[in-house]
Amino acid sequence: MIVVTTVTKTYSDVTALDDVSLQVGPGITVLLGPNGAGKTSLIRCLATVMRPDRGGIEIGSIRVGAESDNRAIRSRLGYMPQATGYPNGISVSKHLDRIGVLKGIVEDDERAKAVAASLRAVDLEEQADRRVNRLSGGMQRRLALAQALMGSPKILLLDEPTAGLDPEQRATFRSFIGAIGAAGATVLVSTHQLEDVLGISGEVVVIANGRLLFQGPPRSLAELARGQVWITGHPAPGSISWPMPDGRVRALGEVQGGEPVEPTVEDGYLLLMKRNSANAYA
Amino acid sequence: MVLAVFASVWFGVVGLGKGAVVWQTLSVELSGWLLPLAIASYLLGSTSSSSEWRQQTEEFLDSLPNGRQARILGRVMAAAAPVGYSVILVTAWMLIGARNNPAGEIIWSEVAVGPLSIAIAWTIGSLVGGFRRFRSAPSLFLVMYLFLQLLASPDIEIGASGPSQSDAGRLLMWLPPSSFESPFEILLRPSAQRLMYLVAVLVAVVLWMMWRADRSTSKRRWLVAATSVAMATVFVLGYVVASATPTVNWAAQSLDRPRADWTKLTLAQRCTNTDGIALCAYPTFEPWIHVWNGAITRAARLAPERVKGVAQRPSNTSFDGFDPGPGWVITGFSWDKPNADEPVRAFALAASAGNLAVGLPAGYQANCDAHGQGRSVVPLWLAATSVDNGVMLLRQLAEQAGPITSIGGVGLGNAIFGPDAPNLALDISEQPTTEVESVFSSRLSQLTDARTTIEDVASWFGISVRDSGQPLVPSDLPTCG
Repeated sequence: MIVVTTVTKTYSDVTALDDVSLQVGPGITVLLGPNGAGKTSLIRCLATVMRPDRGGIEIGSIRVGAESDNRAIRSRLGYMPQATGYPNGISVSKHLDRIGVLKGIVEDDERAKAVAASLRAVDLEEQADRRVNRLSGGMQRRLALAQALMGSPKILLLDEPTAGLDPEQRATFRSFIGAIGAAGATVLVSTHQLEDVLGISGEVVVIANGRLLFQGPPRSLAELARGQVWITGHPAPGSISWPMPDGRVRALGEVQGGEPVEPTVEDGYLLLMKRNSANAYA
Repeated sequence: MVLAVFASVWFGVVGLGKGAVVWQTLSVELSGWLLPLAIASYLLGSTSSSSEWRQQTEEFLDSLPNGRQARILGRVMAAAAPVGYSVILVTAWMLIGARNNPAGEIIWSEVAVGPLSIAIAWTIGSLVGGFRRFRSAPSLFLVMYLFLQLLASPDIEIGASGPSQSDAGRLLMWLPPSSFESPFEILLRPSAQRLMYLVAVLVAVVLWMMWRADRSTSKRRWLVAATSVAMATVFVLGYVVASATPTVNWAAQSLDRPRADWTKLTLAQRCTNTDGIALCAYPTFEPWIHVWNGAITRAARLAPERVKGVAQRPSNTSFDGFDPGPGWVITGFSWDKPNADEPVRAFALAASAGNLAVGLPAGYQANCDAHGQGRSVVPLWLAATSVDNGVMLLRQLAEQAGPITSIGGVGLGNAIFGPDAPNLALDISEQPTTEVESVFSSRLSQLTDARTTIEDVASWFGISVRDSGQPLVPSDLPTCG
């Protein structure tokens, strides 16, 4: 269980996190928000690589702060940063082996098993002897997930894991993450791509401008838009609308003369963003 | 790193190939020979330190249980590799030195400075490489350090013709961990204190790196940091105070100011008194005192009131106006230098002492011509009978064409001898030494008289002067009086 209580983080004059409080339990939780919403700052604070200015974070009943506590937390979590690189001239399995050492897996046999399990989880077994810098972009992202999975962490923090991947690779990634969530780990996935949410997440957290806007199941996010999603013949002024393949227009908000339709998670998210920006300008 | 090891090996080969091995000098020079390895270690340390953010692995690694501090310690521990190379090199050099008939004693605290310099270079490189906002910091720091080394170079200081180096400049010589040469100041420094200072610097740098990693202000961290800084300060102050002592001060000034007060200059030398003869040497040259003693004992016994002892003067500075006073045989600093031919130098020293014994000039007295004077035989006979292979060297002199002033490029004093002098000295050397000594001793007043001719001396031993077959070429110098 991850408990975040009134966390604030600022960078000079930019407030990345503004009094954010939330709880994340076992299963997959998707942290959704536009670019610059504060997702990465929150994930970094949770991964103990950055300290919040105010507020508290508890991970598995251990409070983030003191170095010894942070070390205990780190031994339970796996972190996949948004951007990560690799040492040059080292093989995939050797790299993971070193990560195993740094994760405190002392026994050689145990470490070899952990490397094999991580490679299996991301389907990179056949690349074990390949040099990391010879891997494709998609494989390098999978390796980033594999290194986060080393030591079977109970808590997994994935920051934009599918960024830069093509649709097929994203689907593959979702299947990896889904399998990890199904195994009972607490997985927090940060993304700004809605399709990542669909199908795999039990909980969605939406933040924008450093503030928490929503936390609940995807269905509840969709329900936020109930009665405000319409199919019309033409764009409605003041609403969010976009043309559909059949020539009609899907519109969100107060629309006159439209046909009401079942809301989706995307509809709920877009309306939430619209309200948030309206409040910000108000 | 491989290139650096080769460069260090080359420095060592050149250094060891220059001639006589003196442990004290070698102990200091070892760290200088390791300078290429130190620079490579610095660059590698800096590269390894910046690799995490260059390769974008830092953020992920920070999230691991063995966090940034463990990685810093690991990086520092990685210095074990270049330090290991340096230990192997130092050991090899010392073994080679030990096979080359070394003199003196090993200064272990100076020897330890070499490998410690490698560790410090690596650690400082790691520290400087971590300043990611200042990417040029490692290069700038290296240039600054090399500049300090240049400032501290004893070569520059010894060769300076201007006023003495400022105190700050001299102090710099103590701060860099390595130095190529071994001036008095380095030889006289309290090596153990300097070693402790360097250890304290190493600890302080490691702690600084650790603090930069997490900005921790724990009491234990502060305590260790304060202790290491205090240690470094205490040991710096310790040797600064030591360097301010009259001994070290005057030793340093003697390098720059040859006209420094003689009595104070000799304070920097360690003198031993053997049978009334003072034998003064700077610490590195103490191993040769027994050679000097053997060379001048017989001359001092012949005329104790005229031969007071031996002292050293730098041979590469100006001697204008420098006069230590009568009775001192002055020797230079070439005893441990390349191609130092010890028997030849000892022969020349003995001849100089002989000059003093019979009233001929030596040291810094004016030159004169002693052609045909009976006393010109005495310095050569004394030299031939006082040093190893002396008779052989005298024979070489006898075969030499023209007036006799030096042997093997080393001056025999300040008098010019005729070619008949070495011949007569050779003939006399075939007679029992004690008898010859007795004759010279009983006729000392005649020997010191310029009017006593070489034929007179030959007659005392019942022999005649052989014709050298060489023309007597008068010199422009005044006749020795």
